[in-house]
Amino acid sequence: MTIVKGFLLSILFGATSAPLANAGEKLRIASFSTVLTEIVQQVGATHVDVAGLVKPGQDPHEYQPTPSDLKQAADAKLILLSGKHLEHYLDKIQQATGAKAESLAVGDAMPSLKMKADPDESQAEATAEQNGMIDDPHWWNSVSNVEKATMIVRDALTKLDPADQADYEKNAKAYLAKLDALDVWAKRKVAELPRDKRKLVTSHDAFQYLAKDYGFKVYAIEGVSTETEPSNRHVATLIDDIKSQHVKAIFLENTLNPKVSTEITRETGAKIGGSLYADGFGEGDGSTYEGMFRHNISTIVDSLK
Amino acid sequence: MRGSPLVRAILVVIALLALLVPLRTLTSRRSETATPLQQADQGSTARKRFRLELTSTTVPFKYQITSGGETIWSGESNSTTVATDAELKFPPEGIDLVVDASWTEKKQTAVRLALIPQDSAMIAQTIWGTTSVSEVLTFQEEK
Repeated sequence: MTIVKGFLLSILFGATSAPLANAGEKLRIASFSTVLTEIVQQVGATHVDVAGLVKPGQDPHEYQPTPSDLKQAADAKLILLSGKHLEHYLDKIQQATGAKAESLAVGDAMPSLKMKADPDESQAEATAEQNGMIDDPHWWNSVSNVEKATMIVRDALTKLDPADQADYEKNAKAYLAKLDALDVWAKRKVAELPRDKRKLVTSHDAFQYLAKDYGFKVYAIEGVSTETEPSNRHVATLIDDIKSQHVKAIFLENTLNPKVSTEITRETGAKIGGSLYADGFGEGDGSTYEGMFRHNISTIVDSLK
Repeated sequence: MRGSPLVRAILVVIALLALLVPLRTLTSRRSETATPLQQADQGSTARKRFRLELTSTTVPFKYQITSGGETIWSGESNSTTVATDAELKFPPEGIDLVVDASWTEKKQTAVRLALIPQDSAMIAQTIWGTTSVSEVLTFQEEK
């Protein structure tokens, strides 16, 4: 009788102690975006163990996962992706994880701006619509989109770990307040620049979302990808636009060879306004979302004034 | 050709030297680069005269209006509406004015800024706050 009682108690104890043991475990997250890595670290805080697989300064258009990256993705409970066709290596992730982990393409939940598909980039061409347009993947260059992403990540963490819902909500609220303040600052900073001077020439077409939020017109030296060189015809048109629109400065980005941009400045007389973080975090002041965004806005406004 | 070979050689050298200056001007990149920046200055928007009216439903209130990073109008008022004249650069794309206003009483308050051009219809915007407002307002002239 004692043995039976002990057996029943151990089953009961085992049944109640299992969730308690899991409650102490951190949620393993794999992130393929520097911006999403920060969001999930801020919202998940002590409850998550995040592997940021695309590193600051790395070009997400050219990134290829290593076997070690794929192993970390396979071990994760949640895989965070930028979405909007940016991860051209998606099939590799799916093969590696065997669809065990939940993948969340955060950007797919946001309204898309359209851009011309790069004919030299097979992935962009494959996802292009009949008119040759694709979804612009650079959603993180809008603060309001990053706010949406924060809410999406908060909800995903809550679904995986309902016990810590209160913490996720509190952390998300604090991060959203910082983003609100950042947007207010950006609006005031951009207001220093007259609307007829808000012409943004950048080394690849990554700032449409920022332009829409703050009233800029974008002239991109390249299309969506940083992998291809622009055509001579495109460069000639751009030079004409820069001259006729009296653009004072053009901008490079941290992940791109500035050769073509430098050539255009020689032809037009516009100066190099500085380097922008177009595809995610970089080093130094661009190593956080706030730092990256402040750097981009300040560089643009101060150079075009 | 008549004359000594030395004179002919000197004449050829002088002719080549005379060609050097225009050739250098025509082929140099530097001569092209200076032009657009000069054009940019010429292409700047002309200033336009406006009557500015600021109304707050709570008094007294302090206010500051900023354009292009510079304060164009500030003060304190005991009456609900204050007005001034200002010359502003107003491109077809519109103009951003930063409106900061505050009052001591904690009360839901509407603050309205109106721009009255000399030759077209008034444009106005209203913002709300409890102890202060601080917003960027974009004004565009109706076509």
